[in-house]
Amino acid sequence: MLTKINSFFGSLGKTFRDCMGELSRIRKLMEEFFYWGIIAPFTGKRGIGRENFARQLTFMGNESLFIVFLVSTSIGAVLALQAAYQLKQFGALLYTGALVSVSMARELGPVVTAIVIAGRVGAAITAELGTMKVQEEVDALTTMGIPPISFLIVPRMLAIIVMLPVLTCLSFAVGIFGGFLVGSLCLGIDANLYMKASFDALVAKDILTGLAKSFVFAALIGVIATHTGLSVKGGADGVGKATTQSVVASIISVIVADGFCTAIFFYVF
Amino acid sequence: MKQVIQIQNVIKRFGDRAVLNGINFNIHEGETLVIMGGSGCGKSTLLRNIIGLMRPEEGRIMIFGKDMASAPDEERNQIRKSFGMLFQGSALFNSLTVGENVALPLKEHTQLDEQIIKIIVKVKLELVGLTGFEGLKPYEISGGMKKRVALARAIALDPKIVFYDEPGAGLDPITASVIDHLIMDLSKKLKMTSVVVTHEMKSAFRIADRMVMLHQGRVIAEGTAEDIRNSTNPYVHQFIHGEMDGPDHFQKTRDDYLKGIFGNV
Amino acid sequence: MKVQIREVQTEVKAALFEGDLDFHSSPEVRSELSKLADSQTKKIIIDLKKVSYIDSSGLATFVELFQRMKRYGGELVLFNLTQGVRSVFEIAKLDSVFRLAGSEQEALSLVS
Repeated sequence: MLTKINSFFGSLGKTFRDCMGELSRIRKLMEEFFYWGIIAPFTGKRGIGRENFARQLTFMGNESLFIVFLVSTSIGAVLALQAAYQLKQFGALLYTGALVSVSMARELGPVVTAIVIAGRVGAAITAELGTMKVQEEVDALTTMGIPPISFLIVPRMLAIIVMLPVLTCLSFAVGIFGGFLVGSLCLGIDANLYMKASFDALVAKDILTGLAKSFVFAALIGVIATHTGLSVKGGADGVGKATTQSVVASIISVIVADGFCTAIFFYVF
Repeated sequence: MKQVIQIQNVIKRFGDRAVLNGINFNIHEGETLVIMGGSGCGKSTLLRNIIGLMRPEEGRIMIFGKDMASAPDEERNQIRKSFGMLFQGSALFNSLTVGENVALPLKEHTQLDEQIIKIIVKVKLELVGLTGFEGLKPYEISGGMKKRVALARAIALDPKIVFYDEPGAGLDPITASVIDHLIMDLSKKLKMTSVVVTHEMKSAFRIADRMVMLHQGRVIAEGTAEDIRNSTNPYVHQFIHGEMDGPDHFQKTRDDYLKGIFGNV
Repeated sequence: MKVQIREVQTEVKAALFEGDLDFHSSPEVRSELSKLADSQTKKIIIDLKKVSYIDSSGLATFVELFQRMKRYGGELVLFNLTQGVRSVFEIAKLDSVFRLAGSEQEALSLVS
């Protein structure tokens, strides 16, 4: 019995120690990111590699534009149908547009886009960096005197931080369009009235809230994807494992962070 | 003779195990030095410490008079410009073309014009016998060619020292010997100091001016190829002849075996 | 790096370099030489007796000048190469492409 308790606390301690180690490595990554992403370019020590940054931006856009488009249209449409089902009972069918636009802006746009990006871009970043790690490419950069954080991490992090909010705006617009299609074609709401209801209900705060969330999500996905990629050990199976881990961790943390953000915006602002 | 690298009492531990247990030797200017030893003898760890991918717990690694072991990161990056490194798996960047791979150190560390860099890349590729391959991606060429591109990249900044980690690994014997000859040829022509880590005896005796043999984290033999060949150290003898029986046993003794199964009875 | 350029004969310019031609100094040398190429100088002879070391970037600088001059039909001769500098040309197999001379007289006779 005693040995069992002992081993339980032993393994608990070990898990705790592992977690702390992981956190301190993440902190180190963040420090280096801030150094090479913000301090070094401004002090003229080393730029952020515009070419690389542009390449990442295009890659992320290309990878996810279509999916974000598809998913957000569907979500907008489904949302309109579900809302109408309830609202009809109160004779408030006209408010469908308002409900769709506000929930797309505040909640679904940012979250859905973040999840798509975590699955497409986050996974790609982890797999690429992991492969580079196991094929000694990261070591090769270091021995060439090129800091890997500056060369590999900074362009990817910055690109995701720029790209996610942009895609979120797109998702929001397309979601409203999806709702509009359903509302005007299937539910028989007058097209003009639907649009008016959609935009009357929106205030700047809704959109800002959504954008603020998408910044937080972008940072989370970026840190998780790059950190997991650079921590890959072993060979190809290590890369596979890390990629799955990165996607799962990103999605969970996006949803948890969403909860926190929503609570903060609800109670504080 | 000028010493370009001095390794003084280097100790590296992983946990309680000392992988490098007080390494001492010097590398002379212009020579080709082979560091050899069996798997797990610490030769790769030693190389990683020299090029600054790890820091030793104790000791000094002087490269051109500067201590790689204790220098801050920024200074280490300065020291790194004076040497090139050929990795075991070539470590070319797959997203870049062959030409861009060779150009990378030049773009990062010099203010040279794009046009000049292009010419340098062509010259370097000619030196390794790959003229006209600039536009290909690394996955479009063979393993031997990748090694040569990696070599061109390693000498892009005209380094004084080049390190090679198992240059023949993963190559067929003919290609491996081509790479060996390239290493010898370039070191002579460009007057570079070459440090080669390998366990392949044929290749080692082919290229070495001097050899250092590691075993269990210590230098057990050092000298010219001839010295090593005539060494009286039984382990060295076993190693260079590739014999199974010798001081390093493949099978543990019977007592160890029984102890392993039954514990201390 | 010191660069002196003078006109030795009509249409012949002689350049004298002093110092090492390496990654640091070659951009400066390049800008001096491109001035000559920009003005389409027909004949350029370059004195390398005071250059004891040349690296890949120095070599590439001369290759670029050679390419540019070839386009407008100019002539380039390098002379007084030290042993170390000559071997850099030989290793890159460029000693047969460039015209290399042993003295200023020889260089002048090659371009006239």
